[in-house]
Amino acid sequence: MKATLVKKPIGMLVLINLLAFLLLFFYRKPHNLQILYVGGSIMVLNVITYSVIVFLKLGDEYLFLIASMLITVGVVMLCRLNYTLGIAQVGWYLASLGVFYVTYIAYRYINFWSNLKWLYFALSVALYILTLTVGVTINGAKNWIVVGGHSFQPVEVIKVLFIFFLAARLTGNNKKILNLPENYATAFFAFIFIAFLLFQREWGIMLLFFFCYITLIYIYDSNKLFVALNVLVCTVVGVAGALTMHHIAVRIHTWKNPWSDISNTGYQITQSLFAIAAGGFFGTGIGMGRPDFIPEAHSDFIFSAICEEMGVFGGVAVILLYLIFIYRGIKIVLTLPKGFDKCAALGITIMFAFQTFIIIGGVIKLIPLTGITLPFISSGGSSLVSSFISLGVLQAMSARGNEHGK
Amino acid sequence: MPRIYVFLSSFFKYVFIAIIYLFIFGIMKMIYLDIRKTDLPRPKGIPKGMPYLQLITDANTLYFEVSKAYPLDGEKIIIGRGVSCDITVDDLYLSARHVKLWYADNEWYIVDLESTNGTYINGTKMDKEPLILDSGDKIRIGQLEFLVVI
Repeated sequence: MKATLVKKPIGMLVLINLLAFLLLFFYRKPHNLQILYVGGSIMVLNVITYSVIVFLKLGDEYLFLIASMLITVGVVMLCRLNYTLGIAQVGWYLASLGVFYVTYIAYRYINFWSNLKWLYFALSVALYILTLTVGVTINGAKNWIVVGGHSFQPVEVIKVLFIFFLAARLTGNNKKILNLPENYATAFFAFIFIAFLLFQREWGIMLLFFFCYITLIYIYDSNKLFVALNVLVCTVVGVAGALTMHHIAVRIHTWKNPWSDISNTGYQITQSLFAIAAGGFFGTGIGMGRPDFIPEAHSDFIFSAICEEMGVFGGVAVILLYLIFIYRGIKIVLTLPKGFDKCAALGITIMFAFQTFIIIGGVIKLIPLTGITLPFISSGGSSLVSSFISLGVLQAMSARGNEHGK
Repeated sequence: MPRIYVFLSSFFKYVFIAIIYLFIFGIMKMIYLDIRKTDLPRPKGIPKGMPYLQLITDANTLYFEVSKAYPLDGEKIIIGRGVSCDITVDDLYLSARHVKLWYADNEWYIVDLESTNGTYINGTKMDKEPLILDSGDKIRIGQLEFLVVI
């Protein structure tokens, strides 16, 4: 019995939880018992949720397993960087799991989600306007709302609403608006979503929305000319932005040559590259590198911190985890019958995929850097809760897909 | 930093990487076994041990009625558009009597009944000679593709 448990992935997960947090316990003097509590609670939450999914047959069991491994890696790194961030992250993890179950139940047993497209739109616009009026600027982007000492990013919720809205528009029956053809009306509303991000200077999310929108219409719209037109519009908007907006021009310049202004605009990306280089293949070992030199090492640049202390192999493992996560997502999409569910599941999966690509590509200087979070790993409540809403929806759909297959 | 910690951390970095890769390997193996198991579920209504034809084409994309599986029940089965066939499918690309399958000497044989659009076995168009079917062969007629399960 024991031997089989160790061989199973869940056994590996428990093992890495035990070892990593024991190691971290000895990292700083005086020894802080809280680290052990953090490790213990992460482990218990992982095991309980995994058991619930397996024994109550809540659909696909791999999605959560992969996500919990990513969370473990993230929390280990956060605890190493800053105790308080790690502890806060566990709190958010607990809250996110609550959200995950609620989303699962709501999506699994209630079936009117495809009819609410104008609610999604109205809610998103309301959140956007709220952010623009009472929002607070943190790190150059006006996208935070502070309520009672806690700050959160409404745009993380809008991400999910955007996918739901697109899925409902692309697969449902739409009433004609102003005699526009259906797909042009959809494009109009999608660009409204994207235009609001322009005011918030959220280039990362903007890019993400562009990618998801183009991919979805490429799959769902048979009119090639319309798709080409959309790609053209996006390219024109992108090029115009790069030429006229100072912020974007700086980002592209630092991407092409960060070394020319290393102490100022190129500082983040060069520190990130130094960290990855310092790690080598196996990394310096947890607690032995200097990821504290990287700005934002706990959120946007956490991938560089992982690469420094766990090595290129650790970084590649993280990418592989995302890869099999997205593979499972596509697999679920294939089992679903045609319609809203299929489109929404596809949208959520590609949103995870593009988000991971944009931020990892950014910190390794493959593409210009835009600040978005790494799903499941970066510190931050809004990002984690939003990822778990998406995961809950995917989980519910996998259960539906199983039913459909039988 | 205490020397013991330096030693432990340098040692455990290899352990962590090994465990994460074993974890990924474990999940991939489970997924692989899962795929193999769910690859060929026996469809509803087909008794155990009965040979059958399973539709591979996505039935949702077709405008006519078609079952997900047809049992090969009997000595001789004719598939076509005509109502006198054993298996009738209203696909415009099928001939009235398109293809014949029959059982003899412990083998299933197939022959094309000089249909207009032909019969493809595993992607190759068959000529007038009958062929022996094996489990896992794919038959394409009209817009339909069937998997042979014997």
